[in-house]
Amino acid sequence: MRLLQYVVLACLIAGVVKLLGLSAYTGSILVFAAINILLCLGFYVIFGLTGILSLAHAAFMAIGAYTSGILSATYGWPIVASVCAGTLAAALAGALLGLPTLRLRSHYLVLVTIAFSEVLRQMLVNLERWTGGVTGLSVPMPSPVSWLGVTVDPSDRTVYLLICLLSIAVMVFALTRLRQSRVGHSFEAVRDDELAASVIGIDLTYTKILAFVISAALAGYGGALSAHFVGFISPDYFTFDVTVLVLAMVVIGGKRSIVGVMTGALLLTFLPEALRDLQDWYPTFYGVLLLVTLWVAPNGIAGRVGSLSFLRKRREPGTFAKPAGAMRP
Amino acid sequence: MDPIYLQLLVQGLAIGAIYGLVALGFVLIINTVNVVNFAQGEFLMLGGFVGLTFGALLGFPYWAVLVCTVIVFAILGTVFDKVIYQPLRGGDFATHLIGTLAAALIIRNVAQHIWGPEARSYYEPFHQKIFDVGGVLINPQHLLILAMTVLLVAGLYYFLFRTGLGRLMRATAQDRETARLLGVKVKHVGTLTFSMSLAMGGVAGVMVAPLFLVDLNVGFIAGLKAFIATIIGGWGSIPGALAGGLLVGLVEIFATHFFTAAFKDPVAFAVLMLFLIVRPSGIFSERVGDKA
Amino acid sequence: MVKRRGLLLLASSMLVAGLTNFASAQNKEVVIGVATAMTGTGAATGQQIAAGVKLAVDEVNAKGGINGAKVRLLVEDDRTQPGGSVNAFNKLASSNPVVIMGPTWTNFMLTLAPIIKRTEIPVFTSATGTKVTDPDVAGGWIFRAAPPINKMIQSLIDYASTKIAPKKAAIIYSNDEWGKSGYDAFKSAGFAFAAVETFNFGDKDMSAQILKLKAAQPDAVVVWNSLPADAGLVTNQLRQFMPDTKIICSNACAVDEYYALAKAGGEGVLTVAPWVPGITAESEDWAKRLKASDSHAIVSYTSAESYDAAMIAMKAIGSQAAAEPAKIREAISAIKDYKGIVGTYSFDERGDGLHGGTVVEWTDGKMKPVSATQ
Repeated sequence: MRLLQYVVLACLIAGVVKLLGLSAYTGSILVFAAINILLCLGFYVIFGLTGILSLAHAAFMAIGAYTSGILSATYGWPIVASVCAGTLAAALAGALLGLPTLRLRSHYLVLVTIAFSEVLRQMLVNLERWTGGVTGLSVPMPSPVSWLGVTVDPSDRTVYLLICLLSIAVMVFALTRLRQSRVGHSFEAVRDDELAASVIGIDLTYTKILAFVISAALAGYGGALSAHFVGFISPDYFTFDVTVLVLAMVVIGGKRSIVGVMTGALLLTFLPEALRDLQDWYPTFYGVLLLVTLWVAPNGIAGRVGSLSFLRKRREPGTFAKPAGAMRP
Repeated sequence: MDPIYLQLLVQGLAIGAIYGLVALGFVLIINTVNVVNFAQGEFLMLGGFVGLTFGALLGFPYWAVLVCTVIVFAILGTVFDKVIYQPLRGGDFATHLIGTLAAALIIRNVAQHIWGPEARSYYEPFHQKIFDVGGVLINPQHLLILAMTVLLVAGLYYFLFRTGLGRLMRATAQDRETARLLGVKVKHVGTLTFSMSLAMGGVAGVMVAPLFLVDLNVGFIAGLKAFIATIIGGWGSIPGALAGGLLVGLVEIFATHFFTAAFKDPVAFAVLMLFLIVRPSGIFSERVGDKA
Repeated sequence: MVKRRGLLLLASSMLVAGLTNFASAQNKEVVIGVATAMTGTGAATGQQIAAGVKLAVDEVNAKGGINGAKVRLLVEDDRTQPGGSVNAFNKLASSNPVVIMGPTWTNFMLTLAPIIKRTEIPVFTSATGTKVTDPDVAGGWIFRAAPPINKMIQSLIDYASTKIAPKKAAIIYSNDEWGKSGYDAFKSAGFAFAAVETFNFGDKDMSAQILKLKAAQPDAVVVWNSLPADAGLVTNQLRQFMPDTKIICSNACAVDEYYALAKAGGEGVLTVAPWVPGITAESEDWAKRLKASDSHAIVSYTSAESYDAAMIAMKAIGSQAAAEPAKIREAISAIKDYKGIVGTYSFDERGDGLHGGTVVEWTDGKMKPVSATQ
């Protein structure tokens, strides 16, 4: 699909939401869902495409949120500029984390990324003068803008949703193209067989760091967006639990496909809300549902759905079946 | 030397032994079924509540509490094996992470419904008595835990490396298909592993209860520390679990002393990272073969 | 193939989304909402809030409701997560409640403040962070049925400075919003500490910190944190190394749960309680009614405050002809000298209803009020 088609789809969805006139509650959930999709897309790049399990996602969200928050609250930057700065800061942090972890494998890498996340959170607590420490930071919410005679108020939930949806549209388009590009194939090569990838000439350092940078940037962007939506952040919003939630979304939805991670994000944002009637039995049902999903679909829902036969394209007789590795939309 | 350092050493070893004890259950599972069980901490939590039920609510003597806890958790282990491990076998690290975390959620919520959300006390068997040994305060509960942990390390090591059954279990971890071809009932290996690991976790919970209180919130941090201890000690190494735990405990206590509690975790992580840079395979190198 | 699979997946997610239903109020019904922690680390306190409100609503309904209209109670779980409190609050707001009882954690209330300002529904809270009732925080829509922390600390300091008069004091506080604000409040009231230590949530061994406190040889140690379980843990360890030093504690120690954990170590601990159970006949009667309505309910200052808050809210609703939030807000602000279970409420311009706590000392397993002027 072309970029324009994605953008139109995003606007359509926002339009439908506006027409339905949904409550503040549903509007809020939709915005959170959209932000979670962005976070999952970032996780998809590093984990799904490149095969690196980095559990520092919450740290990058925090960097994006706090950078944007501090610049807009304390220094009066316009929110568009501060969000960009937050995204860039997170991207830079991604590169910084990527560097020392190049040689680490699986559980060691997991530990280092968890450590990075905790250390960062502690720094946020201690650098009180800038971050407000444990007491938190009030973050300004966007104010109305007028452009060519049209006034748009981003603090309106539907407008904010549109901004998020447009971001998703752009990112999905970009990532789809990325996956089909040389860089995307490098990512997958690193995931599938690092040694072979370096033998055929892929620069492991560049590839891995790029994966970190892209995923951290998306996490930072998502963090900044949620900061300006809620209007208040504090260090305990960016705990390990948040990273685990994103990981769960990606695992449940299917880490190998963009549609998969989006599905996971939507499901695990709506599910807790749908289960509200269960009151204090909610965690048990949530845990059981996660387990059942994993039983049925250990590679995620997208992996499972993909194997349902009626969704497979009919092959013309005489053509070769493509090797399994390449056929993953 | 300032007597405070001796006391700090004692405290560091004490808390380290607890981390090591939790890590042991963790390492056993890694050694035999190669799963990282992020619900291990919740067994510690649950052990405290089960011990409380047998000891305080039903009035059993301490030895009976321990025996009953072992039985209850061994049964829970078979359930865990059937419900969590078997269905997810073959999944990758992330799948196991989410699966065991889902189990942790369920365990914690069910425990809240059975016992309520408040914290409780269970001070058997020493009732908070403290001994003064030449100016250094020693808590007998810590000694009990250290003794238990050392015994379990020795016993587990002997079991896994010197007995036939233990060899079978390790063989299954290294090459499941070949083990099956050789006649090993691989399904039973999984069941036995989880029964043993959960039993260890449950007993650990009973022993730790006088120190940590019987509290729903105990689980998560314990699990994380066990994970760190396992990596530092050498992934999959049984004596490494204790060594790693002790190191983590000591680093934490001394980091809190020299810096403040606010910096304890960053400093502890920094020290442990440096350690990993110098000796990447941990204190005792990995024993389980290179699993890609 | 992508499109088909993608559409199927997205469609099924939307289906799940469609399951998020919301109830709407029927005629002749007054809706009161409670956003609290029913699960998660705050569950112990959160459930007490729900229990207190529920008792109040049940009692009012038994007497025929408010001006003939039944009161409907909606409880939403915030799961002790800030995002959860946003969702819980919004979900409640979608049912058009007249009043909402909010979470007890100051950070959560600060997170909700912008939304409360937009939604314009009066919100009661037992959060004690001073900032919560700052006028610019929620535009005057937040009411507090609990004494703010600075006033509670003032009562404690008044007593401690006169009756205990420690030559040297030390403090250990939890490294979070509650602990920090306690430490700051003590400092701004002029209390000087010879040793300052902190501990993080989830820490189980505070011996390194306690040893440093001990080295400073204080006459009194202040323990300031929010969870009774942690207060009990710290007390146990403090008593191990400093068996005779006076302990001054936050209101986390002003609950029976604390004493059940600290046992002998809790004797003589000084704390400030928003409410002391068993002092008046009304308190005793109320405690019995709470236990009768729900045997698992805990009698504590939290459940008492929530009960009072709900009663005050329903009284304000009853005094107005129409259930309009703005009018209800005015009615609540106008309340002076309302005798509740916890104390006498008079709402000031900030929305605070109570203005001090009772300084108590644990004696023989009970909280005994002590006075600086005795």
